[in-house]
Amino acid sequence: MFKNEDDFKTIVNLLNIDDKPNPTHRESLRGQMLSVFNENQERTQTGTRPLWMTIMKSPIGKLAAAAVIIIAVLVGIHQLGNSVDVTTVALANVVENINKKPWMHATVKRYQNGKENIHQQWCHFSSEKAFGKGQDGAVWCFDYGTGQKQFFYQPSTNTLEVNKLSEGGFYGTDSAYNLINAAVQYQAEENATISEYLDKLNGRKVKVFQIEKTMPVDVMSIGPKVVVKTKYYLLADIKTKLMIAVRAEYLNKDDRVIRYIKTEVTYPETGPKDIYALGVPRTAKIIDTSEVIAAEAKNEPELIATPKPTAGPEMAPLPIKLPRPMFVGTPQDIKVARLEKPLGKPRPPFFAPVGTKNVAFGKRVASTDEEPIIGEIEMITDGDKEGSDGSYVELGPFKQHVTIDLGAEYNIYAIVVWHFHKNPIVYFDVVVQISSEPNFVKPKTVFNNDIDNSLKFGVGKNMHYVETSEGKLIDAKGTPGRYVRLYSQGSTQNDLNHYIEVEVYGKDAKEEPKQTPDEKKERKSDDGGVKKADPNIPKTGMVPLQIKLPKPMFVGTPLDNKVSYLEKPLGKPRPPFYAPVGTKNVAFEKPVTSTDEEPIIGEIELITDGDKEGSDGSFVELGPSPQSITIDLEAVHEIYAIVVWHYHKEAWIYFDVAVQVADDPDFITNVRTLFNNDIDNSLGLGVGKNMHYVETSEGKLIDAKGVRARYLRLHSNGSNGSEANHYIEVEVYGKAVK
Amino acid sequence: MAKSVERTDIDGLVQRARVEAEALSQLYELYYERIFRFCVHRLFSKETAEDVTSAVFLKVASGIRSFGGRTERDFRNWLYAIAANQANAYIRKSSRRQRLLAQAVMSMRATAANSADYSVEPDWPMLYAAILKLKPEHQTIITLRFFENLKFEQIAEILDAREATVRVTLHRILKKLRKYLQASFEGEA
Repeated sequence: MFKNEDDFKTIVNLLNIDDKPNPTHRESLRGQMLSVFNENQERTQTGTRPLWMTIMKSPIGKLAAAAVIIIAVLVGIHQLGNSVDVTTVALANVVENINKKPWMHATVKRYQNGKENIHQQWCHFSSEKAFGKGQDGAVWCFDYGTGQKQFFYQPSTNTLEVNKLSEGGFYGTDSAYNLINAAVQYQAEENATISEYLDKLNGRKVKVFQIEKTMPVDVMSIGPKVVVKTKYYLLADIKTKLMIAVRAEYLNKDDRVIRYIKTEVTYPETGPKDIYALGVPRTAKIIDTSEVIAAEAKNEPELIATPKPTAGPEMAPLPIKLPRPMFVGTPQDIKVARLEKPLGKPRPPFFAPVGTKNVAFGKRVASTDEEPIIGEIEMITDGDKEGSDGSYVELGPFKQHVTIDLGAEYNIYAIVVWHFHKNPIVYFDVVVQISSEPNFVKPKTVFNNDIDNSLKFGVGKNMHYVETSEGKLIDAKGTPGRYVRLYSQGSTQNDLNHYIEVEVYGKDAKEEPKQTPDEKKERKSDDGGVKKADPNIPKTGMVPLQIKLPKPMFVGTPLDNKVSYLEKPLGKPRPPFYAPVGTKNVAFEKPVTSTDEEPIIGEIELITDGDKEGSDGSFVELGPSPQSITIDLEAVHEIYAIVVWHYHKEAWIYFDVAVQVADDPDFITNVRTLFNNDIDNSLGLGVGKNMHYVETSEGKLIDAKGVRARYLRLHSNGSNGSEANHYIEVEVYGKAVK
Repeated sequence: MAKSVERTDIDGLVQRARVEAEALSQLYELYYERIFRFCVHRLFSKETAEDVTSAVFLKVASGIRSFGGRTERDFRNWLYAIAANQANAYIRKSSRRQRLLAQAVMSMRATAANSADYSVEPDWPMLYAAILKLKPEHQTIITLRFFENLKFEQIAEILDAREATVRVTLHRILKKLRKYLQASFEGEA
C-alpha cells in the first residue's frame, strides 16, 4: 500500500483508465456550445462586464465589495417617489447629485460563517479616492485620481503595500464615476424582481426597495460557495430623500445565506486626508511595486530609512561570514502568499553584545528524520554554508524538525538559517523555537511563518521569504536557552526539507550582566506559576489533570453580554482539577457522529483530533438550531472530567449546552446528564441548573465525578454570536474500566 | 521565447473569447480533452463524463461574456472550478453515487474473475470506489493533484483556498484513502 504522495502517484500512473474522448461527442458539443454563445451575443446590447465579477475575484475588491452596493444604492435613492427602475436613471443627473456631496461614509458589517466583520469606508468623489479601514486595523485606499495607485496596510506585519490599480479596477473601469454606470447597466442586464414598501428604521419612516436577482450559475462565488441568488434591501429616509441603510444577502442553492452585509450611510462634510489619518503608522514598512510616478507626491508615504543600530560601547555587529551566492538575479513568479519582498541590497549589520559568537558550531544535532535522504545531520553545524552538493542535508517530506543542543544555557541574540540557497525557493511552515529543556514543553517561539497553523504552534505572523546566500536572520532578542529547534514542511520546490547550516549567536548566560528589572519581573511571574504552593492539593492518589491549552485568540473582556444566568469570569487561570493517577484524555481520535451529517465548515473528526486552536481549519461548524454530537469511547470508562471548546476565537456564549453520558449510542439506557444550562428546557432534557458561560481558550471543564459510561453526547443551540453550532475539541478525562 | 509567445497567444484568445466565437472555439479545442478526462476520473463512467463535460462547456458559453479573467491561467482556473462544481453536484445525489459505486464494484469483480494474478496494488475500479467514499471536495483535490497533475498553487486557486491548506488537506485525504483501500483488500481476502 502506498506510504506517501509519491507512492500514490506511482499507483495512479500505472492505472489502466479508458479516458479517450469520443470524437462525435466532441464535435457535437462544439456546435451546441457555439450556438449558445451566439444566442447570448445577440441578446446582449452592450459589452459591459458586470461589476461584481471584478470585485469578487479581486482579493482587495472583496474587502470593498460593499461599496458597490452603496454606489448602486445612491443610484436607487434618486428614484424615490417613483417606481424603482434603475435602468431609466439619467446618468448625468445621478452624477450631478453625487457631486454635490463632499463625502460619503459607510459603516459596513459583514456576516459570514457566524463571524462579524466591521469596516468603514469613505468616498471622496471630487478627488476620486476611496478609503477603508477594517476592525483589525487594516487600511486601504484606492486613488483613481492623480495617484492611480492602491494602498493596503496590514497591521500584523506593519507593512504598507503600494500597487498599481488593478486592471479593470475595483470599479471595473477607470474612474469612480463609471462605477455608477456599470452598476446601473448591471442591474438592467440581469433579471431582477423589484418591490417597494414603507417601513420604519430606528423610528424613522423609510421606503424600502427590495431587489432580488438569480445569479448565472457557477459565475459568482464567495470562497468555495456558489452564490445562486442575491437580495438587496435599500432603505431611504422619506424626509431627507437620502439612503441611510443597505442590506445585501448572498444565498446558496439551498436558499441559505452565505454572507450578508449591513451598511449604514451618512454624508459628512469631511473625511480622512490620507491613509495616515486612518491610523497607518509612519514607521510602516513600505513595499512599493506600483512603478508609477504620481503627479503629486504630497500624500505619498515616505520610504523608511534603515533603522540605525543601537550601538554603544557594549554592542557590535555580528561577524556572519556569508557563503558564495549560488543563485544570481531576482527570482520571478514565486506565487506564495505573504511573501517578503527582497531587500534589494545587502542585509544591514545585526548588533549584539560584544562577545556574542556562533555557539552552535560543532554542536550535536538531532532530527525527526533519523535517516536523511542526502547528507548527514552533522552538516547543519559544521560551518560549511555553501549551497553545493555535499554541503547540505535532505530530510524527508512533510513536517520535520532539527534540534541543536548547545551544550549549555546561552542568551541567544540571533539565529541564522540556511535551508538551501542554490535556487530561489521558499520553505513553508518555518518555525524556530528556543528551550531550556530538551522536551520543548515550554519553548519560546522566535519565528513562525506557518500562516495556516498546520504545525499547531499558532498562526504564524512572520512572512515567507526566498532563500538566499545571506541566510534568514532571526532576531532572538537575548532569549535564554540551551536547545534550538527548527521546523519546516517542504518548499515551493518539493515536499522535502533541507538544511545547509544553522548558526546560533549567543553568549554564555553566566557571563552576561545582571538582568534589567523588567526581565527579572517577567521571570518571577514565570517561576511563580510553577513553584507557588497549591493549598488545595488533595489526598494521595489524586493528581492534577494535564490539560494542554491552546493559544488564547480573544484578548480583552467581552462586553455587553446581555445573557441571563451568566457565570462571572474567574479573572485568573482555572485552578488545577484533580483526578486519580492514570486519568488521561480517552476521547482522542475516537469516532464522533453528529445530527448534522454535512457540516458547513470542517469535519466531525476535528472534534477529537487533538487540535484546540481557535483558528480556521481547527473547528467544525454545524448547522443552526439544536444540534448534538456523540462520541463513542469504544469501551466503558470512569469519566472524571470533560473539557469542551466550542469556539474561542470570539467571546461567545453558547446556548442550551447539555452534556450527557449513556450506555448505548441511542441514549436510551442509563442516560445521565452531567451539565445542562438549557434554562427554558427548549431541548426537552429538563430545565438546566447550570449557568451560561463565555467561551475561552481554557475550554469549559465539567466535573463528571467518575461516572461510568461509553457514550458521550453534547448538545447546543447556537450562540449569541451566531445561529450555527461549533466545536473545536472535546476531551474526556477518564480511565478504562477493567 | 517560443513558449512565452504561445502563452501570450492564449491570453489573447481568452480576452477575445468573450466576444468572438472563433476564439472560444479555439479555447474549446485546447481544453475539451482535459475537462473530459477530469470528468472521467471524477465520474468513472465515460457516458456520464460526456454529459457533465457538456454541461461545463455550455456554462462556459453562457458565462464567457461576463468572465472577468484576462489570462489563460484565469480561464483554466475558472474552467476547472466549473467542472469541479458540476461533478460534485452530480455525485451529491446519493442515487447517482450509488450507481457509480455499483459500476465500479462490478468492474472490480469482472477484473478479479478474469485475472489470474493477485496484485497488491489497487486497480482503477477499486481506487475509484475508495475515492468515492471521500467528500466531493476531497475527491476534487485528489483528481486535480494526481490525475490532472496540477501544482498545489493551481489547485488552491481553483478551489479558492490557501495553498498550505490544500497540502495539509491532501495529506489527510491520503491517510483516509489508505485506510479505505486497506479495508477493501482485507475484505477481498
